[in-house]
Amino acid sequence: MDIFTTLYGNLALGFGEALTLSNMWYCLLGVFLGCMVGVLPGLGSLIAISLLLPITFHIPTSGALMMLAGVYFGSDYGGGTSSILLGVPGHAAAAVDVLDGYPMTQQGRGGIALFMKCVASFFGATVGILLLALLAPALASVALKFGPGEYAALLLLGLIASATVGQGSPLKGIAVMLVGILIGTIGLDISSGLPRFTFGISELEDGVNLAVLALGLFAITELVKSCGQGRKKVAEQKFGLRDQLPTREDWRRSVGPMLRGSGLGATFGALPGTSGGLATFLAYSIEKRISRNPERFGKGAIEGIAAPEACNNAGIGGAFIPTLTLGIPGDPIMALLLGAMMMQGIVPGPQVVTEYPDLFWGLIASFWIGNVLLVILNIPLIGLWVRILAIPYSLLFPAIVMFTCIGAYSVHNNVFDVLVLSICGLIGYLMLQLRFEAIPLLLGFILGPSLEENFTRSMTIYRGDFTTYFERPITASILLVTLALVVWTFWMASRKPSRPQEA
Amino acid sequence: MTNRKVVTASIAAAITIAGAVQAQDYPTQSIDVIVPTSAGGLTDLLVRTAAQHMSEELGQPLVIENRPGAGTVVGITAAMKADPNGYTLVTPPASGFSINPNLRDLEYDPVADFEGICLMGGAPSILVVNPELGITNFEEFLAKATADELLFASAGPGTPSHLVQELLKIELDKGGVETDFVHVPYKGTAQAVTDAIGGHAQVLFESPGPLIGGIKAGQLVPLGVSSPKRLAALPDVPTFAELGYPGVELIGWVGMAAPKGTPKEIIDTLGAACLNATSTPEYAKMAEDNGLQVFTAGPAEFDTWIADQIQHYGALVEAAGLEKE
Repeated sequence: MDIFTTLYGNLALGFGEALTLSNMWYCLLGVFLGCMVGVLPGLGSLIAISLLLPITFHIPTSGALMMLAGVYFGSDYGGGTSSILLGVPGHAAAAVDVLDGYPMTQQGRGGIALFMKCVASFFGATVGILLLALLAPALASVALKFGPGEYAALLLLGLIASATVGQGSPLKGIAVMLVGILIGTIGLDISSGLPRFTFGISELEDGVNLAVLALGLFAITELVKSCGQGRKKVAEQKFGLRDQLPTREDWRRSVGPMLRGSGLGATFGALPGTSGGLATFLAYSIEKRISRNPERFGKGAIEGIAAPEACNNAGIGGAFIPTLTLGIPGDPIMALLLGAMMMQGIVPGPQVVTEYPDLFWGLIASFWIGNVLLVILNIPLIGLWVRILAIPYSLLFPAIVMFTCIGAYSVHNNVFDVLVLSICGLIGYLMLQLRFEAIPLLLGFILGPSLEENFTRSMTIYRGDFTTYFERPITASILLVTLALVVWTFWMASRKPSRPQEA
Repeated sequence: MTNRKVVTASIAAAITIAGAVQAQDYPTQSIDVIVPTSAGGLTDLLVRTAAQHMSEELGQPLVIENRPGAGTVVGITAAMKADPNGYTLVTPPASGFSINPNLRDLEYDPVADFEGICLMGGAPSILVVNPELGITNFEEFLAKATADELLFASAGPGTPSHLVQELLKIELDKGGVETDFVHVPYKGTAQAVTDAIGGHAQVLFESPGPLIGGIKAGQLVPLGVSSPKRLAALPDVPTFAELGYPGVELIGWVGMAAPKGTPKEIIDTLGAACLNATSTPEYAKMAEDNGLQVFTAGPAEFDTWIADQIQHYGALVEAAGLEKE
C-alpha cells in the first residue's frame, strides 16, 4: 500500500509540474520537431538535440529537459514511419520495422501498420513509464548488478536468439551475421588501444558508425534497387482515415505481442549496456519463435510491428534512469541531455531525484504526456504519411539520398562518413543481388563487438577463470537460458525435418 | 606589359591592404570554433560558456562545431588545414595536444602548426574506490594495495584516466610501495564509472565531472586529488602533495588555438576576449559546480604550457609502455 501512496504522490507532483501551459508547450514542440526530424532517414534525435542545445540556455530547466526528451522519443517514433513506408529506417533501431512493415505497405496495408505502430508504442510507453515511476530507484540498483560478465552473457543470449531473425536460409543468415561482427572489429581495440583494420585512416579508429552502416545498407541499397527495376510497383494505397484502421483480426493478433514486447522492453531499458536495438530484435524473434505460423513473419505479419514497437517505447523511459539517477549517460544523446542539465547548474547524480523531485518526476510525467501528444499528432497524420508513396520514385528517392548523406555527415560533421555510407550501400546492393539479408549483418555489428569487449573485460576481472561465469547467479542463469534455447532450436528442427529449406 | 605590371601591383597592394584592414576590423563575420569532442561533455560546456561571452565582446557569433573522432585527432587535423584568417579556431583538450602526439604519428604538430590563444581551465583527477572495500583514506588504500590485487578501471588505454593511473604506480614504486594493480580498460568514462559504483571494478582515477554525483551520494569514496590545490566542489578531499606524494600531479586542460599563420593582432584580440570571458563569475560558477578549475593563460604563456605538457605526458606514455611503434 505504501508503495502506491508514494507512487501517487510522485506522479501527482510530476503531473503538477508537467501540466503547466509552458511546459506542455515545450513538450509538444519537442515531440513535433522530433517526429519531423525522425521521419527523415538519417536525421535523428542526435542532430536535433545538438541544434536545440544552445537554445536551452534561455529556457527554464524543466521546460528545456522536457523539450529535449520530447525530441528524443518523437524522433524515435518517427524513425519507424519511414521503415514501414519506404523500407528505409529513420535510425538503426527502427530497422526491425522494415521486416514486416515494408511488406505490409507493399500489400497496400501501410496505413494499418502505422496505426498499429502508434497504438503499440503508446501502450509500451505507458507500461514502461508506470514501471519506471514504481521502480525508478530500484531499477538503478539492478542496473548496477550488471557488470561485464553479465553483459557478455546477455549479449551471447541475444546473438543466439536473434540468429534466425531473417527470412531466408539460416546458413546465409549466420554467414552475414559473422560479416557484421567482423565489420564491428574495425577501430581501436579496447584492451590494447591498438587500431585494427583501420589501414592508417584515423577516421576509422572509432569504427564504422552504426547509423551510417544502417543507412547505407537500407537507404542506398533501396535506391540502387529501384533504379535497376525502372518503375517500381507498389500496391494501390487507400488514403481515407477509415482505411487505416486495423481489422479485428489484426487487433487479436497484436495484443499478446504488445504485452510481451512491453515487458521485455521495460526490463532491458534499465540496462544501459544493451542500447542499440538488442531488445527490439529480441522481441521480434521471440514472436517469430512462439508463433504457430512463423512463416508469415517477414511477409507482413502485424505481430512483427506490434512487439518491437511496444518493446522500444517501454524501454525509452528506462534509458533515462541511469542518466538521471547515476549521472552516467548511456549514449551520446543522453550525454547531450546531461550537458543541458549541467548548463542549467544542476550537477547530475543520484541526488537529482531527492534535490529536484519536481524536475525528476515532472520529466517522467512529461514522457507520458509526450506519448499522448504523439498519438494525437500521428493518427491524423497517417493518411498524410501514406500519401508520400504517391510521390514518384524519381523524385522521392533522390531526396531520401540527400537526407541520408546529410545524416551521415552530421554524425561527426565529417565527409568521411558519407564515403563510408556509399561503400555500405554498395555492399548492401551486392548482398541483395546474392540474396543475403541486411538485418543479420546489422545485428552482428551491434552485438558482436560489445560481446567481445565485455567478454575480454570479464576475463580480466575474473582473473582468466572462465568457471566464474557459472558461480555468479545472474551469469549462470542467463547462460542456462541460452543453452536451453540452443537445445530447443535443435529439437524443433529435428521434429520438423520436412520444413522446406533453401541453400 | 606595363599595364599588366600595374594591374599585378595593384592587385598585390589591394590584397595587402585588404589583409591589414581585415586584421584591424576583425571580426567582420561569424567565427567557427571546432570542438574536437562530442557535444555535452565538459570540454564542450566550458567552451560554450566562454564562447557566449566572447561573442558578446567581439560583436560576432562564435559558432560551435563539434567534430569528434579518433580521440580529438579528426577535429584538430581539420582545424590545422583551415585558412589561418582567424575565422576557424579549435579548442584542443590535453589529450589532443599533449597525449596523442606522443602516442602516434599525426598530421599535425601542436607546437609547429598552431598559435595558442588562451588556456581556459581544466580538471585534475580524483582517486576513488568502491565503498565495499571498506577503505576511507589513502593510508588504508596503500595497505590494501600492497596486500591484494586491486581491479583498477580506466576509460581506455592512453586516456588521461589511464595515464594518471600509471603515474600513481610510478610514484608509489618510487616511494617503495609495491602494488599489484590489474588494469581494466573501459570504452569511455561512463561505463568505467558505472562499474566502479557497481563494484565490478574497485578503483578508478578519473576527472571529477562524472564522479562528483557518486561521491556526494556515498557510492564512491574519494581518496585524493591530482592537483596542487584542493577542489572547491570537494573541499574535504586532500591533494596528493598533502598525502606525501607531490609527484602525483596531472591536470587535464582545455585551451583555444588557431592555425599557424593567423595574424598576431587577431590572436591578441581573441586572447584578450578569451581571458575576459574566462574571468566572469558565471564561468567560474559553471566550472566550480562541475568539479573543474579555472586556470588561464594568454597566447604566449599558453604556447609554453603546450610544450611543457607534451613533455610531461610523454614521460607517462613511455612509462605506460604505449609509445609509438
